[in-house]
Amino acid sequence: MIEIILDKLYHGERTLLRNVRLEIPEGGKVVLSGETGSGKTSLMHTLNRMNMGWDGKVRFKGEDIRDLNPMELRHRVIEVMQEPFLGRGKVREAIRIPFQFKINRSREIDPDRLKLLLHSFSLQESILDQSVDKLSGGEKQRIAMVRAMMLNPEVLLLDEPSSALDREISKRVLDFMLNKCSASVLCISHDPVWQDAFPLHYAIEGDILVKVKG
Amino acid sequence: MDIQWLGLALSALLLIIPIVVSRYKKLDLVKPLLKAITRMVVQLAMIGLVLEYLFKWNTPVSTFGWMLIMIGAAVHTIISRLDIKWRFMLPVVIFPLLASTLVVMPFVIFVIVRPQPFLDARFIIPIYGMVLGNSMNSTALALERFHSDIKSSWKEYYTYIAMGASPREATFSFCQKAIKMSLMPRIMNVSSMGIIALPGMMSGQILSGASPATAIKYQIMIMIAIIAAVTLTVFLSLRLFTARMFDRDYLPLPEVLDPEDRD
Repeated sequence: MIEIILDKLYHGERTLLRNVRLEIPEGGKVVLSGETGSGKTSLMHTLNRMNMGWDGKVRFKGEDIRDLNPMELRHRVIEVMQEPFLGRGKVREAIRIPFQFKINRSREIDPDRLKLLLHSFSLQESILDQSVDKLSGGEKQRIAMVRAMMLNPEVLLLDEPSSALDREISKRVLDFMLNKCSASVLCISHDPVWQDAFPLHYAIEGDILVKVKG
Repeated sequence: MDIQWLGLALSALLLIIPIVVSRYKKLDLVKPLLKAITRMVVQLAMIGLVLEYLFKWNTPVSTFGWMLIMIGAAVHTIISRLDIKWRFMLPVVIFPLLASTLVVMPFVIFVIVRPQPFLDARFIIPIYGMVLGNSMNSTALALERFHSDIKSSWKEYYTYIAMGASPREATFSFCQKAIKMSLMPRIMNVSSMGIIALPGMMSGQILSGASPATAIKYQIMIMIAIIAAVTLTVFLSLRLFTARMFDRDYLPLPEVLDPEDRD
């Protein structure tokens, strides 16, 4: 369970949002929409301490986010960027990168799970031996999501995950996020299909966060 | 053999060659050339005077005092080549230079060469000049490279910390590149030594009457000392830079990366 209750949310000196109240239940799926520059990403970044410019409180499973070590937190709350960095080698190596970090030492790559995830994201197993710079934008996004899921996060932060996907694949990814993924999801998306499908929808209008659905 | 003052003055005649070429090809290089030569003469005259006194006094206080001034000049040179605030960079540069000095120089003096007397300024100051000068250049290059990598590969760094990496883990490849970049040319330089040209120190020693065997031994020793000092200084300065450049959320401080350049 995540609670974000803010008087103000800043980006640098600028106030983006006022009186924010956003709750994500355990395993809940929340989609967040709003215009470019309205503060979607800044709001999402309060959850992995990438943005500490706010007054109020952010609680993650009862703990004040300010008391959590950023490494520990980001091992539980994983962000997938819109244009993720996957390294310069093969896809297999790109997936292995986070497993080399000290905080993830206890985690291992489970080949069966990897196969299953690739399938859920409409990717062939042979993609593992392809070089990263040969991938399309949509393949990169999906590999980054597979990589994040391999880390078994408690919360997944997604930034426009369907922006480079065609309709069929977008549907499959959406289905995975809503029905096959046990993690809580906070997803920034302007895609109406995604907004309709998510059980909880918040939108930024001006400097106010509005609960649209749920 | 010494050069007579009159002879040295006559060396100015050789300048006719570049001056004529510059005039002929309209290179506009006469002024900068003469300015540079004048500057060199003044600087060398001054340092010659300082060295005369340092060698005459030859006390630990004067020798160490001069070494500290050399470190100060090196720190100044490194920091002015970077586009980061002085207050921020000072410890990042000064401690690694001091540390590598304290490791490499005593080893050179007390273990390898064992000059008599031990703290002979005539021995320490030129050797230290070479060790420090090389450390200075490499450190400036490595820090510059590391800093520009953080800026240009910001997404790479961010992706890593967003998956639980510590700053040290997330900057591992930048560090690797910076250290390699400062060591590779040195390794090549060492392997080509003596084939094309005699290194400056060796030539100097041979000209002043030392046997080639002595000059070679000194050259081998100094190259190894330089590589050790360079590696240690570069490694420590990158370590300190990494430790200092990020806030408690592992995001770079505004001194290092403008927050506007992050998104």
